[in-house]
Amino acid sequence: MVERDLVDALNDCIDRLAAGQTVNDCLRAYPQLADELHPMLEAGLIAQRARYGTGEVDVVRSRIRPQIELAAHNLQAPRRSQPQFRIMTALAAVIALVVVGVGILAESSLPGDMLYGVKLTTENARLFITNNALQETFAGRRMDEIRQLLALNREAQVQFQGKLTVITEMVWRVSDLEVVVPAGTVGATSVELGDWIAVEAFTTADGELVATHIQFIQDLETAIPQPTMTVVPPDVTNTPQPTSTPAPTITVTPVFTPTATDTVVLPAPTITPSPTAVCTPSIPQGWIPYVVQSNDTLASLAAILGSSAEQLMAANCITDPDNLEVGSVIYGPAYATGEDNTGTQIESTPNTIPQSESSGSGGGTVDNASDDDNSSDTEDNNESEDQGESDDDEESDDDESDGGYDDNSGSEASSPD
Amino acid sequence: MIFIVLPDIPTEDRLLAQARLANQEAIMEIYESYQPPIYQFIRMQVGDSSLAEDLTSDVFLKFIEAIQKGKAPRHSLRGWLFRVARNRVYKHYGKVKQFPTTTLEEWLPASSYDNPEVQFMRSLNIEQARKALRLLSAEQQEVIILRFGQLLSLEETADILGKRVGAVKSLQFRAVNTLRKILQQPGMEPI
Repeated sequence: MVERDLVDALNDCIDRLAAGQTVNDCLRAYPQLADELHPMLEAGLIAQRARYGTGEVDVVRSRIRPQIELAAHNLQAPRRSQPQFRIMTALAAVIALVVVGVGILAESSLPGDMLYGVKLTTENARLFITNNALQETFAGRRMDEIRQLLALNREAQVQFQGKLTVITEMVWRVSDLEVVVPAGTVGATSVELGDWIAVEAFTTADGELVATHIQFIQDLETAIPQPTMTVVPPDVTNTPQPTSTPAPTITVTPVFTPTATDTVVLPAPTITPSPTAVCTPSIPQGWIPYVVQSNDTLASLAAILGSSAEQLMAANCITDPDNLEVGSVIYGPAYATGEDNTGTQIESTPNTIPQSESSGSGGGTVDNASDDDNSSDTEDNNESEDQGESDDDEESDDDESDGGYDDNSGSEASSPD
Repeated sequence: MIFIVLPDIPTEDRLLAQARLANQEAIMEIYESYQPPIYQFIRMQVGDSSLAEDLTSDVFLKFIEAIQKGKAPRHSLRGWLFRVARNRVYKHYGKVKQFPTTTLEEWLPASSYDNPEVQFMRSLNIEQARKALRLLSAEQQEVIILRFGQLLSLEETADILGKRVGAVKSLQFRAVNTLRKILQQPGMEPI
């Protein structure tokens, strides 16, 4: 059929043109159809005549380039593509199998055997996996109870667990709770930032939480090998030693009293005299709060607040003037320059622990206890794996700064959710 | 969607693999290489340079968005980009038919070997050429631009247009003959 031949010939000619041949080459290849093909090819070729000049094309390319660069720059690590994800999960399965395999081998080992340490580790890990969810609930409940006690200025013995996120001279932060850790507290020197620790402490009538014992429980980051992009290299020094836990029932929560074997003991609401191991701040009448900014020093504060460094230290119980905690509240007579305290002007009760107005028991630090950004860190870890979305940005930043200092500034109000 | 297996281009695939991992240099190299043909493709159809500019940038932003979502192509990047470009043009204009298309039977026989029609077409200036093209239907414009303008293969063109190769053959045949008819209209004479 003529038309069919023509359709095919046209197509073949276009292919020849694409291959670098000329129109005449094509017409020579199809002599009988040349008369018909020729105008068709010329018609099609006006597409080449219609092309826009490199000048215009180049100008446009430069103009658009910044937007493209910006978008490319803002790209976060993309979601894992399917095959890679499958490989990773396969790898994780293999690792898990090996771990379990060794664990099985270690099952019958006894103290003194080579694999005994493995036995304890795998037991701890297994318990950790299964109990983790439960444990976090219990731990959370203990914290809430403690906060209530502090709010009520009630004195009690308490125990709790949490993740150690901040260590300063006198005050630690354990999963969102501030604990005063006096020098010489048992166990204080054997734990580090990032550890999950158990704390035995007491609450005071002044609304302070003071530790008496510290115990290391678990290093969260090395509990399970995780094939994620935010893997923290395992800290080899933190594998639990066989001696730290009693043999028959391995629990993740350590035993403080001879009877307790399970989770943390409920705090007994008995009244015990509070040891005066700490300085009680006594703020004179009329002194006003000031929130410590990141470049404040005691000297500059003294100038701003119109007092002397010694007076400020005494009244606010500042024991370490070189380590003023950003976001903490210092009371002073007045603002000498009359300038506002940027952004965080607070009325007479800056603490979340309710106090009677303006009395001296303000305490040196502000506990913005409303945030979950510390206690939900392991969850955040997982979230930033599954979603590449922008609102995880802040959470993954928290994870990165994790082993270290948690910035306690008032801008925590901006954290998502 | 008809899937056609296109031969892989090794260098393009390597670049693409890097781009999929959010490698900025790779992404920008892709942009530099493909912006010209994408721009030509769009520009010839829309006739407005600033609109063409916006639509072109959309194409590459979409590419980056696809990388973010893990949905960027693994192969045949060029085809993927052209398909996005088509989409952008359609979104803007819709698939509007402008000039009545010819059927297979209506192809115009050439009058003689020493062909005045051919001579006329060769004498067209750029503006006439562009104007004539834009009078084609969207699909016809596309097939002419991709096959004659970009010299893409039948298979790749079919992949981009979402058609079977046989359908593209017929389409290009109709398109050239419609173009011939357009060029014979009054108003297309040489100035």
